[in-house]
Amino acid sequence: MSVENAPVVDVDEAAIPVEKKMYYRFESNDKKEFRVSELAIQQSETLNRLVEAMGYTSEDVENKPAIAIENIDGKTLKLVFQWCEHHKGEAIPVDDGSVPKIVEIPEFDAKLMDIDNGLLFKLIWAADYLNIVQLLNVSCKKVANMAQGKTPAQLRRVYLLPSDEEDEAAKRAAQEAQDPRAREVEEEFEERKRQGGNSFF
Amino acid sequence: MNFDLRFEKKESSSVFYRQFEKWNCLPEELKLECMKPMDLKTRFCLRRTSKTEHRLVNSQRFDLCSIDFDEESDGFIRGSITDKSYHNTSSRFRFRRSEDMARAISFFSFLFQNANINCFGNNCDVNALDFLTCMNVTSPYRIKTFMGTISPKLIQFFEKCADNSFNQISFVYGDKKPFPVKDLIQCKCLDSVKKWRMGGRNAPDLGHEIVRKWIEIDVDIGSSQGIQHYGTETVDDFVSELTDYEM
Repeated sequence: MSVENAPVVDVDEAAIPVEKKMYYRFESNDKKEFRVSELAIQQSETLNRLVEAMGYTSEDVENKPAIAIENIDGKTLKLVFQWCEHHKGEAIPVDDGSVPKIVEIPEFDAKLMDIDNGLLFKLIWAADYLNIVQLLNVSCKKVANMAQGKTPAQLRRVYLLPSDEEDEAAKRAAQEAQDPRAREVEEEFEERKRQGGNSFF
Repeated sequence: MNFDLRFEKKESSSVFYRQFEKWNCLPEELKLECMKPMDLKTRFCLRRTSKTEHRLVNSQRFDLCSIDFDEESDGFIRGSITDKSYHNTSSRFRFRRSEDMARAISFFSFLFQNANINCFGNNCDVNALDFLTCMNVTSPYRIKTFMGTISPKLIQFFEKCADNSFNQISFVYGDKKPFPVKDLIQCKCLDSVKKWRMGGRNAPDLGHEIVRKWIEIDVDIGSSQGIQHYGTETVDDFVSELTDYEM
């Protein structure tokens, strides 16, 4: 199934499926609404537990407000639900803790993740937040593939990694920013120096 | 595929890479998730980019199918590493004893301290791997099987392995010095070994020390030891050493 044909759509009355399966309604933090099948929701441990706890009937789903997902925007949530619908009914992989983790990216997932880095970052974050094991696996694998076969110098460019010196400077800046009194004292000292005083006291 | 311990190939500045500038925005647990599918070489290179990545790579143990030291010739030690990723493909490595030793120690320190190694093999000359005892140890090594030649130094290396980590050992003792039986049987990493195959020269006794160890840890039938011992003792002497056991 192609990404374009995946059954998750922004809410549109005409597009509401007529099947008798239960479709839950979710709302992103930018107020986009999605209908997602019960089976697709099972890919997300977080959402699955949530709907089980809510115990909605078919009427509740239609009459009550959509379930709000506060931390995820519509664009990201659309990708998440497209992925869940495509992979619905598939077994959820159990992490046996082995590293390196062997992950193959199916064609559908590769196309789904043909997105800019900002959205890929949000997708990883959403997969983790919603506890969608295989989506997290494939999205992390995509990031890992960018590093494949690179030297340390190339990796610094790929991941924009700071050098140790830059890292230290950033930490110092962050510490100073957290301690306003230290900054005030320093500014006062600089001011006195400018006024010609030799001693701080 | 060659495993260049230097990883310092010159590169053209015009090469285009897909960048992922959000890497530094990822929380550490998600960086670790992204590192899980990485192969050994990528992992080692990432470790060399910054202090943060060094710490993260070191915090995640990974599995290796095998590390084999094959031969030593022309001043080079050669071998191969079989990584679990990419369908168990092997990478060859080589380094020059005289020039590359510091780099090799750094690399193998990383490898032994961070990997769960299924099989460690040594077909090199008896003292070729003595450098392994120079490695800094911050966490015990985890090796399941050893096969090949051992030396007194390699037995010192075994002392740095985690307790009960080995389950199989097959070796030939090749050193001219007497076989340090007591040092070997005191290695706690060998306390769970069920299959033993050992042979070699310069055994200080008829093998009863090893037999005592085998009885104590109840090794599998089929374990064997072949010894070269120069003395006047007989089989009766061997039996008399073990009179505290009913035979």
